[in-house]
Amino acid sequence: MDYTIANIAPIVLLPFLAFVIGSFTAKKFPKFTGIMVCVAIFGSFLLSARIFADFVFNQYSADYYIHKTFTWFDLGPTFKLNLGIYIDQMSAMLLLMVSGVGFLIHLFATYYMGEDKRYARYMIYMSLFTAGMLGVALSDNLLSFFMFWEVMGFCSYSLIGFYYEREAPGDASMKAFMTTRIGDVFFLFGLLIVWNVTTQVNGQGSFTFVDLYNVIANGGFDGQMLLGIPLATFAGLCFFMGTIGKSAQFPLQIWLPDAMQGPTPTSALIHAATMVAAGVYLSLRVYPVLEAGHLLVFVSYIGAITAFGAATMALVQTDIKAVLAYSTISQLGFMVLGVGVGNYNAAFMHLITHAVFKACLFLSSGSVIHSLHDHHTGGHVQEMPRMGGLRKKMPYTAFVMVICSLAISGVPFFSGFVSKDRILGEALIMGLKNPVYSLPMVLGFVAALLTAFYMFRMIFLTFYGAPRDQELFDHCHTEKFSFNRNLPLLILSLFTLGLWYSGSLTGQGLVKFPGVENKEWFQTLIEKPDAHHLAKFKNYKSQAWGKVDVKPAIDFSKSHYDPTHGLSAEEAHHAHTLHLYGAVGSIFIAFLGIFLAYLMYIRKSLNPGWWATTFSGWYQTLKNKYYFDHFYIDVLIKKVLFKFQDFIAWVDMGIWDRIFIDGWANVNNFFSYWARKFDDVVVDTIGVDGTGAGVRFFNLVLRTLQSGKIQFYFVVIFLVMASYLLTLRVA
Amino acid sequence: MHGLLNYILWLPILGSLLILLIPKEKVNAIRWFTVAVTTVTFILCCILYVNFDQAVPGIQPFTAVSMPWIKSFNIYYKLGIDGISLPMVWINGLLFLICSFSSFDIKKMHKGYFSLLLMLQGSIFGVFMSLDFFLFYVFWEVMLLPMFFLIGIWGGDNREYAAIKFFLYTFFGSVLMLLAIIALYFAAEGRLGAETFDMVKLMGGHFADLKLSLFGMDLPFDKVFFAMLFVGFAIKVPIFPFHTWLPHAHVQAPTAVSVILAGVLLKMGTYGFLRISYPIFPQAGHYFGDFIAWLGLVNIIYGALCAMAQTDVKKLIAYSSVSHMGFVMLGIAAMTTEGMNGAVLQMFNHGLSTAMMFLLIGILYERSHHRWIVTPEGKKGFGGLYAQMPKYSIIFIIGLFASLGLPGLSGFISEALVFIGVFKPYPTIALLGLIGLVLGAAYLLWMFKRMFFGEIIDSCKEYADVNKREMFYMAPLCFLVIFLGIYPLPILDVMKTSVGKLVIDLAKFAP
Amino acid sequence: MNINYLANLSLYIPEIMVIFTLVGLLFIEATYSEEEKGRKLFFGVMTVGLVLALLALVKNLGVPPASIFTNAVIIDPFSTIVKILMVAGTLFTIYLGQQSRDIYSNMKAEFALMAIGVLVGGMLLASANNMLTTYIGVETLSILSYVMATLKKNDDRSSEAGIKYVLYGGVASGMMVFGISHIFGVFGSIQFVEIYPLIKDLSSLQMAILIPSFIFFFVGLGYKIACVPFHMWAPDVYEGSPLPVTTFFAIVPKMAGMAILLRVTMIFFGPENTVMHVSWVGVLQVVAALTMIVGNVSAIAQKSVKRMLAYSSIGQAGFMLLGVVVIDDIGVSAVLFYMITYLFMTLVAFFITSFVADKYGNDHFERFSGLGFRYPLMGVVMAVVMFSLTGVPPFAGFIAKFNIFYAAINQKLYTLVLIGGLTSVISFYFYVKVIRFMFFTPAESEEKIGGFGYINQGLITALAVPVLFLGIFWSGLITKIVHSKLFFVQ
Repeated sequence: MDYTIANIAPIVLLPFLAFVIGSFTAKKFPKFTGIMVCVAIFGSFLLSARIFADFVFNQYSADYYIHKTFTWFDLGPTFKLNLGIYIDQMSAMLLLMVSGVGFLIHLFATYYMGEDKRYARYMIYMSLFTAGMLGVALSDNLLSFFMFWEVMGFCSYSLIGFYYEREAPGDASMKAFMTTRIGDVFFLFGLLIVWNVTTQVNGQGSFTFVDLYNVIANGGFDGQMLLGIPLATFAGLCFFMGTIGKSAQFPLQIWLPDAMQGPTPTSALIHAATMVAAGVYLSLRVYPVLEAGHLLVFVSYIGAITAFGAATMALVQTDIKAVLAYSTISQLGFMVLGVGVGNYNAAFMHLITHAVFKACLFLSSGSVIHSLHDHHTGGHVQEMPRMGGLRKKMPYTAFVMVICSLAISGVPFFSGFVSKDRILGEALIMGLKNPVYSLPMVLGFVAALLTAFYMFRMIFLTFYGAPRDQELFDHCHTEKFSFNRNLPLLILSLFTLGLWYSGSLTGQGLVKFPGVENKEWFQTLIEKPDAHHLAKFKNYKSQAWGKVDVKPAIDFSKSHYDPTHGLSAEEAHHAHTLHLYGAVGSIFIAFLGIFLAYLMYIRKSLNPGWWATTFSGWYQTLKNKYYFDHFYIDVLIKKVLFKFQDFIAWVDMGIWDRIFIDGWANVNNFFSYWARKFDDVVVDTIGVDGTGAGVRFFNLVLRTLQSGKIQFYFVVIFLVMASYLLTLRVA
Repeated sequence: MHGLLNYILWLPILGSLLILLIPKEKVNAIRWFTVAVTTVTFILCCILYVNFDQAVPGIQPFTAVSMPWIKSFNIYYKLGIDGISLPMVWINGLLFLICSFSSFDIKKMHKGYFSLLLMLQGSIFGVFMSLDFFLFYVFWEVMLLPMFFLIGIWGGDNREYAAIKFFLYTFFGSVLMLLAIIALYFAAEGRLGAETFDMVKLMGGHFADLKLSLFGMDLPFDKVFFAMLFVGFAIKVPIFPFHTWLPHAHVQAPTAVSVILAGVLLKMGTYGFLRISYPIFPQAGHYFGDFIAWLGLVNIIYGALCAMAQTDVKKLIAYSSVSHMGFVMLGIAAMTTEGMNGAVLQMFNHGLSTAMMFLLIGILYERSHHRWIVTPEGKKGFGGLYAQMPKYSIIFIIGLFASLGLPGLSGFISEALVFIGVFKPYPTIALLGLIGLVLGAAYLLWMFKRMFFGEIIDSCKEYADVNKREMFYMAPLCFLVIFLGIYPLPILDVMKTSVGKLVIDLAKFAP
Repeated sequence: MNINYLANLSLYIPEIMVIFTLVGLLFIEATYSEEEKGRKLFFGVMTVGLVLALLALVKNLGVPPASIFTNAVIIDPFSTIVKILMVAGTLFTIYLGQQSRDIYSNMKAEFALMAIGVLVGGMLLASANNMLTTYIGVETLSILSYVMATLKKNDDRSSEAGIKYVLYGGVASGMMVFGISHIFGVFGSIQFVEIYPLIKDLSSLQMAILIPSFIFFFVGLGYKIACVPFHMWAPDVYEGSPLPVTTFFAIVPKMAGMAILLRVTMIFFGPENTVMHVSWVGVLQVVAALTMIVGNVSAIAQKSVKRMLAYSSIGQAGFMLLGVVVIDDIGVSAVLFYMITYLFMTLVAFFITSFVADKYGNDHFERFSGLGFRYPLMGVVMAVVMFSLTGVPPFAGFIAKFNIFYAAINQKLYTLVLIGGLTSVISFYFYVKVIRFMFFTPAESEEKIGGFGYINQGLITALAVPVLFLGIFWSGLITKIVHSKLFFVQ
């Protein structure tokens, strides 16, 4: 199967062209635009599916890759900038996920945004975004990665601020863009470092991942320092800052909750499924740098803290979307934790699984919100305290939402369990092996517990119990099946089943599903590019773009699942036993969380109000998001930055310009003033005027003679002479 | 083809004289005549671009024009362009075409205004084309006169102050330049065998180990005159301590003039560095390299901070161009292929994006007659423009994100190149420069947020959206900004050879 | 001997013509009765005479330099050009005087007479070739100037100006003659030609006498060109005396003084005779710097355009001095070029100022408000001249300054040039004031300004044309000037 411009480029270009065309047709034919966008994305879905099929079903080799480049521009011998595509198993899967989930979300959006007056515009933004994300997935190098990444940032900015008639979206969108921007500039700096190092090693700068891996394999980073920090560490930090910004990790998590100001499908696509995942995808791509920079511990801490902190904040949210937002942050934390503890493909798997069920959750929350009208304000209702018992009104939504909640809480047989549990298992192993990791391990497990709890808190508050706002409940019309409302949800929920991702219950080959070929395909195909795997990138060749496809020279042997993970037998056994404990533990935790929620919100035997009042201090802290927003905005920005900038501006205009620049005019005026005074007073007053002008001629002469005018002139002249003679003597 | 530069240079000036013959009641005749002239000029510029040969590193032979002007002083009327000046010439042609459309809003004394506008265009062309130092200086100064009157007569409330400040500042700098020019002329006799004003002959670092005495001190010739030229050019750029004329001039100048000011005039300074300071005094260039790089950094951050504190949109954009020109200086100071290319490309891209911003502010000013984001009384000057003027807002977003360097729009590539170029020699500066990127996004988005989001405030309720004419002259800029963001080759290709040559020539003199 | 004299006379025709015109005009003037207006014949003859003199001078440009009347006078292209400038200047100022209200109608004739008288002195001075002629020239120049300054009899400031001028002039020329006598004492000759060879080798004692006496000598010339520190009379005199007279002072005496100063410097203090050269250049450098600074700086705070122009003319003299300091042929040609442009710029500036002043009774800057809109042509011309005086291309003023700087830097006088450049930046500050009022401020009144009839506007524009023309096509002129060096025949 061949890979040419004709069948790769459209994956990105179809949505992009949809955006371009749509931006002209949006005003006139909104409906057409919406459909066109959906069709375009479906197109790129088909092409991605084709690639996926080729990679997984046809090749089934961890080493299989497609790398094609073209020269963007070259500035003479020393500078040549290549862009291109790099498809390996990971990007193949990401492509499928993005285009698939993206398409379903677009489909849902046609329902959700259908009546909106800026419907078409919304759709084209979304499709531009999808183009960006697909571009990220296809990029073979960090530069185009960064560019698409920023394009996504722009779309997220525009979509968060979509309801620009209100102030809040404006603030939220700016907050989102600025926060991510901080991460992005570090990312950019990371690019610079990579370019520089590759130039040193290969003599020709490059941004491609392959070259980066090769440089690391050749020890290009070794012994290099920058500002007193090892270069690898520096680079790793820079890239990871990108992750922190985009994936809303601690301490830059503040923007994601506000991002819910955007329409719900936006939240589903951008702020749950794809863009935020791109951050994690970045740190997966540059994993070797993180490893070479000895940053994994740091990464795991960030991940664990985020996972835990966000989960705690999710406990006290009453807005249904807010709960999901915090859970997103928390889940991203899990992924980062996965990277940190070195479980590469579990992290990536969690990225994929999370994308599916979280998208589904957001969409169903959207379907809930959309059908709840407050007929006083006319606005939609998102507050859970006013819901309850809705499962009667909207059975489909309730069904899928429960399914997905089970998935996210890590209940066996669901995708969330497979991925998350393996992360936790790895954390357990690391924690026991190396005390440094013990805190992340603990936080991870606690976060898992909380996850289960708050998810089912949400479920119970929304769908179960008696309606708390009867009026609202009555006005909510019963859900009828419609292809663009329920179908996406059902499809997504279908893919929350664990067996799609792993041939076994826990993902460690314990409980096997019968008749699934290549079980653990996911684990088999996603190979961690750690130190001893880097070697294989040496013989990776990139080919030029073309109409005809040139196959890579090597023929790739099929991969086989290695249950020992390249460990010795007893190590493997040890690992498996620990994993087993971990699995059991997390299953227990999941059910415990669900049970607690049940006790609190169904049985009412535990009164949440009591907890809130007893721990009101904690309650307030959580409500105020640990006072991060307060610190950043009210202290850092308002108190420090604004004061400083006003001071600078004042110095600029008030001091520098007014005094030092315009001052020259005053200096001149001063001198000219005195020059004039000299003439007027000394010459005139002592001279002619002093004697009065009305006097007659001779009289005047005599008076002047007496009044010392002449003497004065003599004085002047003799002074000049004297000074001059003096200089002569010196010479 | 050989006289092409002559036509491009003299057509506007001729036009500016011909306009005087049109009776001043016939306002439309005057406007359309100007449009005609600028259009033809622009077409000629495009012809120039088409005939440009990328392979030639130095001055394009087919453009070379040379005839003796003052024989006894070896002063020649010598024109020619290379890859560095071509983009500037081209954008000059383009922006004036656009400005002649946007200037339809001018209220009083159309005749004088358009005549001066064309005069300005001609003199700017002269600066970018002339290869004789004396000729260069003449055009450099002549450019001041129309600018002075354009700001002084058609400007805002405080126009006199701004105009005079602008003139004095630049004049001060250029006097120093004149001194350097003449000194070089005589120094050339010793070093090149013949006295000459010919820039191309003067290039190549012949004046390294000369001495001169100033105020009784014995000083190195090249460093002193590099410094003098530096002041002359730095004022134009403007580089940090010499920048304060810019906010005044921008705020007071009429829209079209600020567009030219930011779009082309500032580039004359950096062009001076690339064409004169560095090639003629490469050793001094290396000597002052760090200093200039740090100044560039200061420009970036200082300008950004000042911009963020402004409540007047135009002033904000003015400071933003102080900040953006800092990137150009940074790229030049790096003296690497990437840096220099980035700098020249940034000169071009900043010309486009900032021109967009000023035009947009001008369009808004036509409706609101004020420019306060926050009025001095502390009330909102604008609000909810997004809902009020959707088309306008879209264009504004494009310009905004182009100037904050969003990938996919023109600004990004140049800034990225500059950073790549700077990283190698000055990693610290590159790191600190990133602060500038963050602040840059901050002040622009904050401005946008305050003006465009939220409820439509009463004073904005009756603003009309962009009309056909405004759309017509904004469209090409939008297109260029996006097109060059995705496909920068049209500009990069023409300049890379010349820039590469410059870099290599400079590298020879690295200490 | 006689033949020789006649031959000499042939070279001296222009002066003779001017003198005859003067005498003739005296007779004609005597025929008029007091209250009779017009005096067509008078001015007709005057014009014809001066124009003929001009023609004769132009003819003289070609002839090889010769020193006549037993080395009393030298006729060389340099002096001829200066004379041309002075005659032209006189012609136009007299025309201005006839137009201006500043001179009482019954005084116009006297003004013309005295102007021509001064002109004679100036011409003598321009080609003086020994101490005596120099002194006579200076005196002829001065005495009539004193009277001219007081032309407005019953105006206090005018008479005050006259007194000031007289007293100062008296002192200065006294010193000059004092100095000259010492120089004669040392060399035993007043002939430049004879002094020149002796000056190379001097005993330190002679030096001790000579240097001060040359300073005395310099005082006499210095006050004519009004260079600091001998400038104090200038602003008051310029302001006090009627505007045409000011114009005249700003042109003829200055040029004459500059010419003789240049000649003396070139002859005596060339680089070849070291000590004197060093000392003299030392003085001149200080004086030039001071003149530029004081002249330009004090002009800033002025309220009246006339006074501003007076100070500015001091500053301009400073730039010319910078050319004198150079002491080589390039310097000479630079100064010559400067004089030419200076003539036109000054004339235009004073013409316009005088017509405005006539209209409103005073010449404060405010009176120029909106002139650019009421009389666009005049506004533009004035603006051009102002920019040209500042030294902005593409106007002649810039080329003039360029030439001066060129000459100076050729002699490595960087510091002086720097001062010159910066002062010219400062000068923009007050020149632009006029432009500001003309273009940036609305008109005070809309009524017509009588002076700006078609003829006058045409004349002013014609005078302004060279300012623009020489700014761009100065090649021909400069080459011509470069060839017209100073000569002194042994």
